[in-house]
Amino acid sequence: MSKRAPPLRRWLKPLAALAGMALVVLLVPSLGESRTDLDQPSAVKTALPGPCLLPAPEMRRQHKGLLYEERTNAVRHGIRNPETSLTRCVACHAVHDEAGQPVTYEDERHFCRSCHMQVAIAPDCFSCHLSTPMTLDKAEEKP
Amino acid sequence: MSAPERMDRRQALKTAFAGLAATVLAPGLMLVEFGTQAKAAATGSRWGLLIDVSRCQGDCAGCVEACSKEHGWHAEGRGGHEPQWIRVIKATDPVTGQTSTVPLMCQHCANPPCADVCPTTATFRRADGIVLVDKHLCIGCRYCVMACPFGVRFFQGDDVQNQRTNSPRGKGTAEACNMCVHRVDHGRLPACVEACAATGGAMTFGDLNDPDSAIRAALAEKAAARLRPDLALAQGVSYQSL
Repeated sequence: MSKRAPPLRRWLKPLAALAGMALVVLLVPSLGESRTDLDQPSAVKTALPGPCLLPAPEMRRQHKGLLYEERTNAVRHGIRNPETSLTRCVACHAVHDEAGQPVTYEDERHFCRSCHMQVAIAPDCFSCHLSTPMTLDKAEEKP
Repeated sequence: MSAPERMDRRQALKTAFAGLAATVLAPGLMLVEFGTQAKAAATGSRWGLLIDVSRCQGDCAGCVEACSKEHGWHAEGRGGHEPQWIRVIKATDPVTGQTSTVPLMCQHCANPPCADVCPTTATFRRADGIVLVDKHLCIGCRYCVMACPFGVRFFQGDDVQNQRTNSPRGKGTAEACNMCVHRVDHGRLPACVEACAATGGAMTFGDLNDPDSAIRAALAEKAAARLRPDLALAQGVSYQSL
């Protein structure tokens, strides 16, 4: 049997490979964030009343998954989180027109639409869901 | 090879794998965190509705108006194909000729035929007995509309504008009474029951599995029957004085 190399040296290459993989997994998503100075939809620059559920870069990447989780819990299991619901998204991210009224998804300035048009993905949330915040009289009916 | 060296290797491997696992798993775990803050629909409950037909004033239609307002549907008299989540029908006994007015809506069966025929599991029965359409999965095949023996499911064939926030409705999906699930989950009464209490008080809503609930007290007081008992669907909705 030939003489084996000392253990640490033998494991150096696999360890380096693992570290490299971890580095790639960590870095690749954040590469996209360095493109912030490219043309951006107007809604991205709009100031919001407060912090979102997650920092903006993470929301951009994860909102579909969060919404999916939220709707499955709410519809199929009755687990309702008003603070993380689509209703709450629409309430905070409402874009108002010249008359001060919130615009619907039909309007190009709508928060969801302004990004989704740019990336050519049509969400069909608003063929059923209301794309504007609840009006006051409807809000009164809420618990 | 000495013992301390072997420990080093084991330690190094452990650290590397832990680091890798954390990197790969962390984003997935984050998704789970959000869903677990609130309570799931109570599995021990069985929501039911009891309607005392003798106390229903036929021309009142308060329940129908309340439902229409709550869920944003409108019956415009175009026939049986437009949504009528709840309607008041006139039932006449063929032998005695006795007539009653009966509010009719989804009966929330324990063995729902609509859910049996649904090819996508969009129509399902929640753990607390409420039968719902998950419109995210509905493909608009209308099997459930055909399967329902009570004719209380509808197909939405038109574009819907200005939906209610709490009741999303859209073209190409099946719909029916959802027992105001958004209200029930927050401990409130369905809209029809709330409206009826102000007029006739013919409707009682509650948990059929809770022996102390108002609906159980009302059921103990007076005989109640389900529609079409021959189908053995074990509906959540039952009627008195019918």
